[in-house]
Amino acid sequence: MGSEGLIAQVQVEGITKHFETKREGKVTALRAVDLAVQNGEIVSIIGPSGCGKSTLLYMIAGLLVPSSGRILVDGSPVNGPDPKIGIIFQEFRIFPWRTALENVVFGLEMRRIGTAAERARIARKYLHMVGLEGIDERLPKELSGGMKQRVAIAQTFACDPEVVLMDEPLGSVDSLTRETLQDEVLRIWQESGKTILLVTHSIEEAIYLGQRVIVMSPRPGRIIREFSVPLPFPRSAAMRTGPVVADLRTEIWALIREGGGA
Amino acid sequence: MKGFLKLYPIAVVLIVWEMAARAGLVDPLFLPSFSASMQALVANYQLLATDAAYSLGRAFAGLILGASVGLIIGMAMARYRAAESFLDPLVAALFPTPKLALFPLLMVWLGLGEASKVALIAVSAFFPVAINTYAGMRGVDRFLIWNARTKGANALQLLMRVMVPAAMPFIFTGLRVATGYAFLLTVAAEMLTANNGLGFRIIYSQRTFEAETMYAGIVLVATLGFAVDRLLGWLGRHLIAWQDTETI
Ligand SMILES: Nc1ncnc2c1ncn2[C@@H]1O[C@H](COP(=O)(O)OP(=O)(O)OP(=O)(O)O)[C@@H](O)[C@H]1O
Ligand SMILES: [Mg+2]
Repeated sequence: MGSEGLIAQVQVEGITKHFETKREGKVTALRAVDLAVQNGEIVSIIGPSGCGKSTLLYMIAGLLVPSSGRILVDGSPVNGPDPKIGIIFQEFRIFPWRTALENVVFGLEMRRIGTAAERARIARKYLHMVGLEGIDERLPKELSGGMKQRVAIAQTFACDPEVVLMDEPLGSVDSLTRETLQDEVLRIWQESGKTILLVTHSIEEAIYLGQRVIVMSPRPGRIIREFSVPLPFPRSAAMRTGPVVADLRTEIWALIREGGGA
Repeated sequence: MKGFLKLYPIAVVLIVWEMAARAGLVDPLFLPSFSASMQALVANYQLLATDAAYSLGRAFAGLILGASVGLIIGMAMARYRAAESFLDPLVAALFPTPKLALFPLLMVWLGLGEASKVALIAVSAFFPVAINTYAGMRGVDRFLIWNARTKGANALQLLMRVMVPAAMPFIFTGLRVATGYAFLLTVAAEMLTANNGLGFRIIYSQRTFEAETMYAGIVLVATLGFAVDRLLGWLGRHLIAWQDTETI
């Protein structure tokens, strides 16, 4: 995709990851994964459960160390977490002792960005962006699962990272909200120009959100194929049911069912 | 109001006590009536209030000292591998030791005055707080920590703004247990060597056959312990109001 000589914003080179387990000994979660995501791209990753999608994101975020291979972000090796690489976890966790607003200001507060009032203003903007109004003072226990997930999305975007890793960010919202939030994610992506790498279990979602869809094999996860999605942005509701999505869906589904023989 | 109604078993016990004493079922030297004990409480109000103040002073001095050290040690154990591997076996070995066994030793070191008593109470309060802080912080959800780290939290912020609040329900439970121990050892120490405090008053009135005063002292100790525990429970509910449960 990228033109000659251009360094990808996220460059994953030959990553393998083993885990030591008591029961099964050495488990290989990922094997020889190469991936390049360009600045401003939105890319979906899809693959069977347990194929190492989360593990891959954790390594890009600097939370886990690859067993071999290397990961570059903006041309420099990742060593440890960095606020310029944001991540929204599959097991989305917001701080239960902080209200929705306090959760969203967390990153700004830790890095002492702006005054408290400015931080609150920024946080409200992002809460508004994910469609949460009038719940600023609520504790997580007073929010639904979908609301918490949206707070988590706002919390990560409020830190203004260059790269956003999303691990099934819309996993626990109902299908109606899910479609709205998909459009929100696309709108935020277009407005902010951020690079987004998104893991999902839904083939339709992967196609609808991605410029490219990367398909992984069962464990040990490898990238078995990559599809580019020939649909323009902004994407519309009509495209969801259109022929491009339908055809790609059939093709990806067959590939996954086949089990990654490729 | 509902809270008070739940306490009816206490009222039942007090009524049975009163009736048993009045019916002459027991020697008043063993068991004076509840009302007689309360009269003794009122009559010796000044004396008992002074004793209560001494006891509370010792209990809280020891509790604050022991709990603070426990908090710091527990945090260090959860945070630093070296502290963990050094302190964990020591704490595990010493925790089950009845702390009162250390009292003679502490008296030799620190004298018969306040220092040895406060030290004994502090030692007893230390363990539950240290152990609970350690366990609570060890058990903090990995994703909460990861979430904080990817959002730019430094080591100190991670500790104070994430691990400590996340472990607060545990820490608080430890504090509540420690408070119970502190009261227990205050009374025990006062019974052994003191010339004031409720523990002293109870043992002294027993020796001088003032059963009513002895019972008044016991009732006072029980009431204070109960009140402080309730206070902590209330404080806990407010401090940990974010917890996704109805009770703690
Ligand atoms: N800490 C760990 N220790 C041992 N094995 C692990 C560890 N973390 C992950 N694994 C294993 O690595 C593999 C990949 O896990 P990962 O969570 O990345 O999968 P995933 O693709 O995100 O799955 P899902 O779609 O269900 O979220 C799994 O087989 C898992 O059991
Ligand atoms: Mg996963």
